[in-house]
Amino acid sequence: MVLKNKKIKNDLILIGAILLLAAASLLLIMLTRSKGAFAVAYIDGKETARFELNKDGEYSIDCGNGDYNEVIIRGGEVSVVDANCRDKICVHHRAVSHDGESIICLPHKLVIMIEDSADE
Amino acid sequence: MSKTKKIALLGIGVALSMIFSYIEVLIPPISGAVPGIKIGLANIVTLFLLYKLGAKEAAAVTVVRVLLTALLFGSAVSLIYSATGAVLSLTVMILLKRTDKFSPISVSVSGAVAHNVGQIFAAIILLGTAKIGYYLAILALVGIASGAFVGVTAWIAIKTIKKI
Repeated sequence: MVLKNKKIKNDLILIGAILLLAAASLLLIMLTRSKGAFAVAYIDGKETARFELNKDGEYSIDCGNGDYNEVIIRGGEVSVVDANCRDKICVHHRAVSHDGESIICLPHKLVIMIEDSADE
Repeated sequence: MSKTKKIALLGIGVALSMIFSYIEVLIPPISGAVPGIKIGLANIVTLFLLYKLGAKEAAAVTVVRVLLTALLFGSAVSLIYSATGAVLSLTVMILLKRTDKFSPISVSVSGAVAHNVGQIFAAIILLGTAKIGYYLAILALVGIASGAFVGVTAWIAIKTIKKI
């Protein structure tokens, strides 16, 4: 490894480029995002429930086979408060409120997607 | 190297990377923001083989490891995520190594980021949602950290284990 220094320099450039891309994409997202209007629950790709974000409430989403996720809508945000999936990643997820954000429960094939009124 | 020896080495590679995968499951999830993020310790083996034996050998071991791990511990869905991550990661790493301009560390970082990106694309297709911009930034950051750790470890192994 005689050319170690040259390679390390290229390493830093490459990693720097990746960091820059990441920062740029994050900035782009944060600048163009808007507050969502609905939290839509998709199970296995099919819409099964739609909640208005400006109406507070607690709901239980039935994902079939006895699987459920309990969501709460408060202050224009939605979060998962309980679920009977094995890893409960959805429960630990922070609350979401912007168009395009989502909370996903992979074991239940559940995607809670924030959409604005113009969306599909 | 005799064919027998190579087959034996590749077999060890598969077994070792599977053990690395298993150890990872025992470590609590490193990121709460994005589910399923892992350090990718198994790639230490992939990188080591890539630099010591070659692209074909590293790819073979990775493919077999992904298949076996999914068969033994996973599901059809986990296989899809694993496979897309592995294929993209392998492609990127093999191409970068071929340029001979980078050390194993950034090759590993690029592989880690590519792996995460591959999994996100699989998620987009499987879940039918396209707005993943949020995740790309986090994945890149976590990929850099985990890729650097795996890369440095593999680099040390590559330099220390001179004869195989």
